[in-house]
Amino acid sequence: MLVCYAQELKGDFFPYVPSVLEKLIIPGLKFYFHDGVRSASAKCLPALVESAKLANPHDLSIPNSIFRTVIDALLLRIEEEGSPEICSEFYEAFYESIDIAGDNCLSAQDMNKFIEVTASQLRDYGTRKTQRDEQVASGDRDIEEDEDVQEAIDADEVLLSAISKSIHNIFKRHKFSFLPIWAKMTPYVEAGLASSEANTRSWSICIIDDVIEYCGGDALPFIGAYLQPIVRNVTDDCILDSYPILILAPEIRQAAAYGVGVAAHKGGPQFAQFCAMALQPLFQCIARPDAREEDHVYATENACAAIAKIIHFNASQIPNIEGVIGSWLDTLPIVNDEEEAPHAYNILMDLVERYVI
Amino acid sequence: MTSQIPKVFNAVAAAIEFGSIEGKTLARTVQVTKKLLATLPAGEAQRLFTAMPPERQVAVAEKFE
Repeated sequence: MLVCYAQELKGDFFPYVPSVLEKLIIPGLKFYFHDGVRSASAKCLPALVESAKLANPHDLSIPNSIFRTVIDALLLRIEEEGSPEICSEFYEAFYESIDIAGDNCLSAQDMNKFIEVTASQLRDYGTRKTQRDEQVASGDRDIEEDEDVQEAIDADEVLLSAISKSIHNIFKRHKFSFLPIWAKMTPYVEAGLASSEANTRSWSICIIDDVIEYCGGDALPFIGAYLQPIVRNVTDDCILDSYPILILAPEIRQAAAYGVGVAAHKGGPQFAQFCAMALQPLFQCIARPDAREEDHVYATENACAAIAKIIHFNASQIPNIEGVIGSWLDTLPIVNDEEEAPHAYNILMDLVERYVI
Repeated sequence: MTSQIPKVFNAVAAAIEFGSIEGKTLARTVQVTKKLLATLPAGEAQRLFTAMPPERQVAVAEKFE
């Protein structure tokens, strides 16, 4: 009920925010007798931050104080939380609150603490996954039949997603100032890139995509080592015989192709060589016999849009650009991906205006 | 690029049929493609249009009218 009140009344709920936060919600986050209480308490936090912000447009000290209480509480709870399901709820409250609070809302100390607690959660995830893999390998558990195993896998997928959305929003709100701090978690990103699990690998690639998107050319010294792996993941060249699961993982190709497009669009001249290097694998991705099938079409259309962005934004290292444009036209249309289609068609119209009309 | 006009028109028509572009992008795409088709010899644009599947013709006609 409090979540609804805060969400619906917005700024009008503010008179109750300080006391609700202090007396109900913060204690509710560690009400270990009932997970529903902890979950509902977490869901309430972004609405309280928003209420404080809307009610005090001219005195930022008040919403800042509420936000400070929320962030301190969430980072502490994430640090101590053992349940991936509840931890996901805490991360969700964290990234939504950051987005509401706005640019530069976190201190360097907050960001360092976030990396510290997230590294701890990722280590716990690694332990759970290793245990599951060992139980499945020994025949103690059946990954397909055992509902507990499936639920545990699903819970970890939600947790990884919530962590990547948190990283996304921190970069969105802090840009380059988060980059040197984020760099402390690169061992986990590298482990994900090397993972045989499609979900984990695409998780790492999506995080690298965010780094490029929000830090542009400044990202290169921090993620340069991962560019070659990203290009390999645009095609199936990343597949080893021991990793057959990746053959069925178009989401990896989609994340990698999207990343090349982001590098072309946002990376500037620092990424021009990378864009040139990625062209042939992108065309290779689109030329697959199954490229337009339902499971693969988003990867294909992301590759098509990435080529468009290279042509438009980052073609300085491409010698035969007119030949590339001609080949790119053969990769159209984009009919499924409504996020990428506008980019590609606007670039197509720019080309038409430049070369024909 | 002129020889690529049929490819451009088909790609635009498919996006219109499936609704993958809308708003300002759709309006601009239709406007620029109309100008592009006007550079073709007489009757060529109509020939490209009638070669499309019927559902696509309906969607394109609605936006290009």
